[in-house]
Amino acid sequence: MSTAATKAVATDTPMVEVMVASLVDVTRDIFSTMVDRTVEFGEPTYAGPQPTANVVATVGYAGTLSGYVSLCVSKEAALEIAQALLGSSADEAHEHVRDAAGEMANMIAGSVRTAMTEKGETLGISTPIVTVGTDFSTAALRDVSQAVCPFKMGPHNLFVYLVLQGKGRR
Amino acid sequence: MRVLVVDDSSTMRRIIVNTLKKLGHEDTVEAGDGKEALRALAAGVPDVIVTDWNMPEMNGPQFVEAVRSQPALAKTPVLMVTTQAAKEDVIVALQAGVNDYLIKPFTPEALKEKINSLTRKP
Repeated sequence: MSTAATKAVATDTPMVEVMVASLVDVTRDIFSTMVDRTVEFGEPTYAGPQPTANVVATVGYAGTLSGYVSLCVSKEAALEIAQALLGSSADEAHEHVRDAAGEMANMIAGSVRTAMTEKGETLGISTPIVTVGTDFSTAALRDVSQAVCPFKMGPHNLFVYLVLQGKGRR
Repeated sequence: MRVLVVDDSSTMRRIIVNTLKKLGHEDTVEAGDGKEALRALAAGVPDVIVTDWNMPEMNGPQFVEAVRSQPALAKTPVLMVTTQAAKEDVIVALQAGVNDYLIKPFTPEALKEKINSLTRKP
């Protein structure tokens, strides 16, 4: 896993930006190794709301930092991810769309947890929660740090959304 | 060669089983948690066990300790596949009796290398 971005972060950088650097690194690595897709990241923005999506897979953090990370994708992108992740037919992938998105979020959150552990944080992660629908939005509480990391997988626009409380405040 | 795959996520089991099949390992048995895996082991000893860490009922290290407590399974190779990648996690797993460790995300080549290494005859 590349850690160039994480190593480049100065020690006085806000925690949310430190985590975003890790998020970009690990998400790129996970899409490359697990679904054999190259993803291209755009510039992160440090504000909400959570991007609109059909499939939102969320994993929570608790410990010296608390918050959550969500993988937000369209249903078409979620199906492509499931199919590539499973190495299976579209029929089989359909059955696993939610869990595949959850596993991707779990790997992203777990890998960021490892990166943050190496920086001295102590973190636990929750089991993934996946929300699927066509017309819904979610919002973090006020007074939190937020970051939206947009990226592209082929024709699909995807997002990783990070919310941090406590030490993560900017 | 028979591989027992233990993971509470049916999707992750499917990912691992499909990868194993592509690598030529068609004979797989699946279990959704440690207790189910112990029942499967009572029915037959596999050539290698691939297990997750975070599972209900009995987590990965607890499952491996239960495996190692049975003389018939004392030398069965165990590969832990997990996102738990901190050094202290690896130490806990090794102390429980895990033979090798594969951190998610993993490539099919990495899984192949670990399985081949664990099942290679001396």
